[in-house]
Amino acid sequence: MLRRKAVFAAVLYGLVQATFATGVSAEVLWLSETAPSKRAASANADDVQHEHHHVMPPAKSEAAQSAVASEVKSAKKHDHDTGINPEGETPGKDHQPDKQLWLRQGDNIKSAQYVAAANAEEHFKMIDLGGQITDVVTASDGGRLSLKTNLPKVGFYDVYLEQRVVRDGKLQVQLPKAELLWASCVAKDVDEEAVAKPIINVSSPLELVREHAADEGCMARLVWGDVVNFLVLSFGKPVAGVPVTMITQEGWRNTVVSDKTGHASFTVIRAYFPKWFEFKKYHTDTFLTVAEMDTDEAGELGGERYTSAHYVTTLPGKYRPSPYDYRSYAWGLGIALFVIVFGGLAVYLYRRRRLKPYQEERIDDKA
Amino acid sequence: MTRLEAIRTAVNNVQFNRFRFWLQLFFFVLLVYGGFLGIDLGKSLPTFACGYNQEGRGGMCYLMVFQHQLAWPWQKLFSVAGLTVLSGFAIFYLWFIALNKGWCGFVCPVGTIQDWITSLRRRMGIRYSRYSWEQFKWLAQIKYLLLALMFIIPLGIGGGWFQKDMKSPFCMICPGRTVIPLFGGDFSQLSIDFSSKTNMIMTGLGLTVMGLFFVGSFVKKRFFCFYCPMGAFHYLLSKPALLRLRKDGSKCTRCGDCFRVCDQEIKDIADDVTKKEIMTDDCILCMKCVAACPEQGALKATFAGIPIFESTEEGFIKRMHKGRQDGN
Repeated sequence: MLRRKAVFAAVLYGLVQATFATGVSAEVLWLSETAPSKRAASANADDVQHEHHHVMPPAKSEAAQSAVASEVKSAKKHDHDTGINPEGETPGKDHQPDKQLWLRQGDNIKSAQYVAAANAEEHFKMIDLGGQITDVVTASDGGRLSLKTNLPKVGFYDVYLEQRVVRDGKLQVQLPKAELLWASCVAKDVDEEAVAKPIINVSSPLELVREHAADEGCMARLVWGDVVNFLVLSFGKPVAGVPVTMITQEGWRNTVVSDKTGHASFTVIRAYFPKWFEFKKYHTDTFLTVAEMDTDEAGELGGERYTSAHYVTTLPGKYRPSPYDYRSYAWGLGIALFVIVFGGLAVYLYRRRRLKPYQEERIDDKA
Repeated sequence: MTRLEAIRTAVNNVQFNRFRFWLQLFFFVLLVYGGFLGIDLGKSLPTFACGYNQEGRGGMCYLMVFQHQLAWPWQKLFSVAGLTVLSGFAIFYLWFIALNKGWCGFVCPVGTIQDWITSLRRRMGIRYSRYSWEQFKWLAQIKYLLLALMFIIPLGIGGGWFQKDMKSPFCMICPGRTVIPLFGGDFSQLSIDFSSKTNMIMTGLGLTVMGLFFVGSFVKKRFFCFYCPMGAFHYLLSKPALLRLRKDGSKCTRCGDCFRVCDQEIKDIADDVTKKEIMTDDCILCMKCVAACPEQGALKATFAGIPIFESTEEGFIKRMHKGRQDGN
């Protein structure tokens, strides 16, 4: 009886997974600008240890990685307090050139764990609007893998990481990417057309590029209701037929397949429903876009052979409440019209009262 | 007559209203639509070239930047970063001392809009209103109150006393914010922002002021200039300015024409025969008083001490004839 119940539960679980799964691996890596909650001040041994090989590993980290890799398979995943701030992110971050990214694992934005720094360095590649590539080394921040950088000038920058590992004869390649922005409302000489151009990493086997609107500039913000267009590229070329999933902070997800030009579009949905007096118009929600691609390619990595490859790339984004949710033209025009009409009437009546009626004066010379 | 004297006579006899109309129109187009032509005069202009007119503005009003900067956290404001505030103010001051309060009388787009509303009223044959002397005296203090609040509130935000929603408090109530973008087809400033109580109140106030602006400007010449904190700010800084309004009291016959034409109803221009510098805090340096004065040299505008526009009998007669021909 107990065995039947266990089998039934397993089948039911499988059905639920099959119904709701959208093919996104729960182990996706992604780069987040959200700092861990202050309650979880530092990582401990239960933090996620991540197995990976680098594309261009420095000698010391490769040795460190191979030492760590053997421990990884049995590492427990500990559900830290990941600290998505219910208030959303701190407003105004885009106005600062100092940026910090954390590597996180998991497709649940709220509970995705912060990857521990372990004993390895990670090498990130940062590309600016002009195509200049900078190699940036990470550091440990409270035991968590973190990247700190100071952006040299106003504009967009893309940060890339590539991690490879062979599992069960299949090469697993994780390609987390982040788009950083330093915006300034008082910056001079910002070429808004250049800002709108996408940054493309031609050496990336799978990449998601968010297409900027022509008038986006440095100050435009995504709001819910906006349609976000992504381009799926492989070594700089568009790829069709790649499933792309958008996941919001509240867990909503939608999957579309890239068309023949490599485009995939989503409408950002609302995920913020506070009471009116708690509403913050600068509240920022996060979405995560994930694209996965399988290829038939054989090779060897770290002495392990593989016969196929699975590529996963992620690109997080931020969006805010739409002004249509809190701005009212009806009230605005109503107030203006009321003041004009009744103010005008008041002024008219005031002026009429002050008008002296015509009075003729006759002087009687004979009196 | 030398060439210089000929030029001087031509300038003194100019059809002043027409000259001023075209000059105002030029600056209006420059500041409201100049952005479309790639013109950018910077963010330190001493006039209401509204920053909310994002696409078309040919320069930006300094008050917007100033309030933003004053709202910085005090740690930042009173550190090396505060040099940015000083440099911005220096550029604003350099712009200002060139034209003094002539920025109000000839350049300001909000002032120009008021003059157009006045012109509409005149064509409709509706008489204008004037303040009584008591009303004038206490209403004239409002601009100083607004100026003080313009300093105190952003500083208070930086010090954590007020919410950040109140930053640029004067911009939120300025009619320039709601009216100038309309000329570029931007109606977004006509909405009430319900995202917080502060925003709701400030945007509501802004639209109330806009309504009062239209009503007031229709019946009162240059209605808003009387309450404008930019005008008060100008006056406090006007001592070293190059463009000045001077009066020679010995030539004044107290005819009162200057007071009658003054949009700001400044009595001192007619009554005061002792002061040489006759510009007051309410003055917008529109020079209508100079144009209307019939006495040779009684009133004059000088630039760096050089007279550039002087009251003359010939000019007065020419302008009055023109006025009679226009039926005004």
